Amino acid sequence: MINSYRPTTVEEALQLIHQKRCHIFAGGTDLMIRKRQWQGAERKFTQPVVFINGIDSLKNIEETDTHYIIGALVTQTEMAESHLPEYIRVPYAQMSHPAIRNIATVGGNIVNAASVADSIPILLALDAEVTLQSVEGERTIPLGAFILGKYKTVRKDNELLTYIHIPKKNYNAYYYKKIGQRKASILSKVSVFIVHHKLDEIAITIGAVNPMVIRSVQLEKQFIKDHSIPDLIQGFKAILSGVNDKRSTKDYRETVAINMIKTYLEGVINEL
Amino acid sequence: MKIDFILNGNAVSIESTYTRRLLDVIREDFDLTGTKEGCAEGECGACLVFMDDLLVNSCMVPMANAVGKSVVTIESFAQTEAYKSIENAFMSSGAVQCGYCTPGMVMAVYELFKKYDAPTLQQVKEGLSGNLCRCTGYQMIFEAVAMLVKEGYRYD
Amino acid sequence: MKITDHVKRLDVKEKINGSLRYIEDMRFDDLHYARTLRSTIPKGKIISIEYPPPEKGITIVDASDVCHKNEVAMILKDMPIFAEDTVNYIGEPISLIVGKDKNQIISFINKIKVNYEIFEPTLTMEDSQSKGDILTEHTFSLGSFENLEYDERFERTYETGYQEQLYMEKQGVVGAMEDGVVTVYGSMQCPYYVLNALKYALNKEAHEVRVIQAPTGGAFGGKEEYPSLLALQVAVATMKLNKPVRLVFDRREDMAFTTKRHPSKSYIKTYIKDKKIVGMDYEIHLDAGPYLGLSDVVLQRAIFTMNGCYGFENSRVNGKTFKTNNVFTGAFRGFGAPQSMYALELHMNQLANYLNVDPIEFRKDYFVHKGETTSTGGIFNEDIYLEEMADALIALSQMHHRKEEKHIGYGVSFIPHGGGFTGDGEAVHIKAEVHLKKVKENIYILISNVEMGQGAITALSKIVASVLDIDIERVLYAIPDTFKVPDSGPTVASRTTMVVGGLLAKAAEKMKARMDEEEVLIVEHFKQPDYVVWNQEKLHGNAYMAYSWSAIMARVHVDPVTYEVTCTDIYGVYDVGIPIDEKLLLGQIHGGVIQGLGYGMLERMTSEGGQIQHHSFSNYVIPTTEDIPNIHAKWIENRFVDGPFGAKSVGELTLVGVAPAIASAIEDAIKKEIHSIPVTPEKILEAIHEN
Repeated sequence: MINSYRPTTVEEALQLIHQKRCHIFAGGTDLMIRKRQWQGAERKFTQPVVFINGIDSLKNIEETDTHYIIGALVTQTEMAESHLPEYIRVPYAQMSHPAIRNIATVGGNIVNAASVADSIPILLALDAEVTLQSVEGERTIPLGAFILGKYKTVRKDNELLTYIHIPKKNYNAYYYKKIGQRKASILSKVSVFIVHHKLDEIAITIGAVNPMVIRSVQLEKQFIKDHSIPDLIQGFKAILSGVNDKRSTKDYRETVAINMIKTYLEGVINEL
Repeated sequence: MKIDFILNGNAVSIESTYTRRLLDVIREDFDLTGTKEGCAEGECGACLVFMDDLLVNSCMVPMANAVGKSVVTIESFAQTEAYKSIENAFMSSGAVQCGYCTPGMVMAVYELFKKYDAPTLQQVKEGLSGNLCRCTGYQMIFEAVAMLVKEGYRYD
Repeated sequence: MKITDHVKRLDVKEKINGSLRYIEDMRFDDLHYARTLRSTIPKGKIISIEYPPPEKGITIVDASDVCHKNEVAMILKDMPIFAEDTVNYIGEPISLIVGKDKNQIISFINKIKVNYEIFEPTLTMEDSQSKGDILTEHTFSLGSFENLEYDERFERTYETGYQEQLYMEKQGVVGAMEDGVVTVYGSMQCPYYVLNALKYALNKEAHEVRVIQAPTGGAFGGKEEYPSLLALQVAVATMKLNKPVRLVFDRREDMAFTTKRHPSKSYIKTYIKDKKIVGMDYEIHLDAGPYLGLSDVVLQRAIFTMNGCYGFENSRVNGKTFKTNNVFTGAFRGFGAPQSMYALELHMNQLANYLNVDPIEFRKDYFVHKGETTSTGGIFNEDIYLEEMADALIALSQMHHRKEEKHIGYGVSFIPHGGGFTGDGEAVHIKAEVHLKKVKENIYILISNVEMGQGAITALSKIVASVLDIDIERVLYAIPDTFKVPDSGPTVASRTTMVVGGLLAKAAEKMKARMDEEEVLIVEHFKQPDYVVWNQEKLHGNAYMAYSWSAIMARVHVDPVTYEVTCTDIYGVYDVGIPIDEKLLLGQIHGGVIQGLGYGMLERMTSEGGQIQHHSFSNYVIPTTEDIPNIHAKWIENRFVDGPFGAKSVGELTLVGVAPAIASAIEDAIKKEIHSIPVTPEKILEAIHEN
């Protein structure tokens, strides 16, 4: 029999996960599926389960002069309906479908670190950082350093992701498009997020192509300098490594990612 | 362990594990079978219930996350005035065929009016995008919502 | 009431408020659950099965418990109820693990080990052909290709994949011993198919076994032959345990292991002289999986329809079903026609494009007419209004007022669909019997045809009420129960309204004169119309009693950046004789169009190593509310003399023409040919990259 716990404070949760390796369960939209065996039968868990959804202190969106601070248990619906900038709200409003957005959490999507997770391209482009807490202390690291690969992160077993910090920027335009096998309620087979202030500042991410979200600060810097779309495209092409799978093909993912970036930026340059 | 929550307005207490699905508890412990399992992965919407007034897929909710919450299923919602108008619109529009997706669809339609006073076709499509129906092609469900809009239906 | 009156559906209140109990919702005392132990390899010999030590509360049910014959009686009896020595596909049932505690069952089943001697499986039709594993083959022709004079030959190959019915309610049955009678409740289309399978395998008489249909949450053909297998399994289990046993599939089981639409390959060669078609040669191959099931019947519908709406001077049709170790395939709305009509209609559009002529005008030269010969050498006995339908489609779609638009394409299809069983099947195999019973004020419809969402109860009640000119509330439909209703045949082949409704209309006519009596029973049997002449050996004569027709036009937008397709509009003109109820007709049209749209552009299901890859709702994608085009539907009246009030078939027709219209529209938008469905953005990109 697997034990399960429902702490209501961060401290309580940290004590639990410090003692034993546990499944940490937030909204549960991924774990409920991955651990199923048969309808009506118990999920198949091999480690104790810690349900953190009762920790109310992680359910708020706050802001300082420089940052938005998102509690890990804020839902996707709360993000979509918040006062955050449109370039954050709109992508969250396009994730999954309304009822799932009501339970799926911001933190869960990050910790899960699926290559198709829709929030990661957004947060990565925005230079988000995550706070990890344990009984031994806490650390705040860039999201890019947090995720190591598909379903892999640097989180230690005794650490809990508690907050996401999104720096405030003065971006004035963005482009977001996720492409799935149909028009709604679908995992991405490729997504592109571009956020910028004229062409003085820009961040570009590509999701669901490589095992990890693609972002190249170096290419962004170069593009700010020379506004050369061909060079930018060349640069991205060199780092794209999509795969053929049940949902799409390497060729499609890569071509369409490039097409989207190219078409959008050509439009931006034309308007300048 | 003992789990307390509110089901259709009544405080209930069950002996269960945290890892059981809300869907199974509703159906098996309370014999409320209007909530259906279609896909078991949060894609089809046949298992929708309201939890603290929010639409959720009960197949995705472990009992741990329902502790202390107020859960409303179609059986209870069907007793309300708000339901009667939706029922009438569904019947008049031909929005029902095999019926398996219907209770969930009805709940999602109600939620739609929480967000919009008079949802446009595009808003209806977005709002119902988590409810799959294999029989109707959705057209008559859109018509049912349009009928409600025309009647001045309001969320309350 | 009158047939033209509008009615509200009779069966929906309990569906909307959730009080209707489907098989998974029904209560039984001391209910036991069953979980299936399945083969994990596509082909092999079972050397041994290592079960864990016996446990209290767990019962294993397998082939050794089948008291008479371990065979599922369909057309052949080649499929076992439980695999014994050999397994022939991944997922083939070996045993049921039965108990009251699901957690105990699942932990028991996880400990079972099956040892196999693995054989080389056959996983493609090409491989099957090279091994000579053709299950069935048919050929027929008109005219001759010898000495045929032609300028050129236009040749194409077309491919279609699996399509999953994806009824919202999964497969489910319950077996129970009730007063010594083996009783099966289940979600099903054909209670008497199930009964006959039970009688055969268990060696029982009709009074010793009983089948009762449970409310059925969608079927689309997926609950035609497949429930017989499950019913037999729970019947054997309940006989062993003497307890009710429920077998309800998980969605992934249902998607990975139950019947689906046959993957197909079609080879079409068209002979052209002076820009006209002088001959067409078709060949179609279907992947039947390891057992024949209904595959040969599916093949027959595919090939009988293969000439479509056209009469060509010379035509030759060849069809084959192949044995493979892929999942076994079966009935699905359209029943072979979606595959053959996709190929033919796309081919017609590609031909028109090649010859640089308008695709509708091009077709008109070949449209069939009353009195002409069908591809199987029968005679079209009915009025055919294809030209009128073509003109109506042009008007409906405002084709002549189109502006040139970038990235927009249009495609058309014209489809015939025969109602009822092929050839003399209704008279020779089905022999439908219906009962209409008057008890005091009420009239009871006693038939074995089921409500599965399509509106059968409403349509049939309306027919009876209209003939009798009484309130529809006085007509009551009895839930199909083989102890109570006669065998009016299966709920398949778009036959319910046309054939069974026709018999009910006749029964009601006879009832009319006796409405002042307290109790009356009218029994009506199917009689084959004189004009149906059929030779099943030679596949010669009238393949169908009457055809319904559709003319479809699709409008699509193809995004030049992402290659995503949006089907913006579907225009459809339908000849279904006369709609029994306009709302029910539209319900079928909308549902069929969207299922056809899924088939044409979204629903990709592949198999690798004999294992279905797309077996969940998250990777097998059916249309959502946001994928829906505007549907513009219109019907013309063309009453069929032997249909109730002139009605012909509806259900399947509405799906068949959609995929070729959408596929052609995409070709029109990108100016490239694509030879398989679904036409995904990946295929569009590939076609564009080819140059």
